[in-house]
Amino acid sequence: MTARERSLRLPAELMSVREGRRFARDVVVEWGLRRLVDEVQLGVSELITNAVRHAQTDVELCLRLLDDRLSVEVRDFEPTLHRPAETRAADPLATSGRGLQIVAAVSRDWGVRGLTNGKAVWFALDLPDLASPDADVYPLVARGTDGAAGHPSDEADGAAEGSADRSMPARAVN
Amino acid sequence: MEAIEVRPDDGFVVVALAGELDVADADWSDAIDDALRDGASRLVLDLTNVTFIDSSVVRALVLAHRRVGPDGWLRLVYTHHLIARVIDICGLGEAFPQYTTVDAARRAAPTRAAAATLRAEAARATPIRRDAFSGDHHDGT
Repeated sequence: MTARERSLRLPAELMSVREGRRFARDVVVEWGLRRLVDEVQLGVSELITNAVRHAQTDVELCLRLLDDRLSVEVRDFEPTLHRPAETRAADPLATSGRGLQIVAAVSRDWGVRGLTNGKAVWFALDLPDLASPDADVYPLVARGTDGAAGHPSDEADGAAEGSADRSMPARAVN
Repeated sequence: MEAIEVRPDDGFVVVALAGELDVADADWSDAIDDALRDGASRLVLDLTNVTFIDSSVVRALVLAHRRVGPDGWLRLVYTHHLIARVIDICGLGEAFPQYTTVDAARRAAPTRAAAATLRAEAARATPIRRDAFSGDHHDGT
């Protein structure tokens, strides 16, 4: 099956975070995946923020619609992998290390791969039709394409379940 | 675009923000900083009209939370599900219980959703596995 792919190159500027996020949102809606808008926006925002802050090179955002998943990748042109200074997710009042925590929480899987001239940080989302009940967390339902209204009182419980069980390995980070 | 409104009120300051908050502009963080610099120690951030936040905003909220000190408070008014989700992912439901109106924040009357967030956090394991950062550098899709 032919994969659909859209990409956008952005400069190493903070404004690229917003531009990339909006581009990704539009692509996802165009592909009929409105239910994944929150996850895509959060993931793209975090990955582009990391890239423009740490790599300080141009950034290439690439979205691919595959048979069983939506893959989102942010490439930069600096080969060094920047590990986070801390990964203290257990400390709620830490002031860093949250970006990838959010990526991990909203995605099925994520990781980093080296490129000949840089690196790519990616995350993958289950397509709504194939999502297991656990992965189908509340915001997706609340923003469903069927026009259903959100149910704020249900939100917190659903969100916790969505990220509770991740069997896929998550690897190193930038 | 962001609409920022600072409303000095009776014993506390309300900073109302709107739109998508991220690192792409500093207006929203400047508004928070300005309120704190002016000596506000009881601060309500009204995020009712905010439709997006990411970890850069969470970081600013945590820093502001520290700056108000033990005798002050920083309370968030929000209803958008994405904000609730980010707060929850970051384990900050206790630090930032959900208020759905400025008046509720003033009276310190969190909504039921905040209580649900707290329960969810208590029941949940660490949100990101520590081995996520100790594996090999490269992986493929």
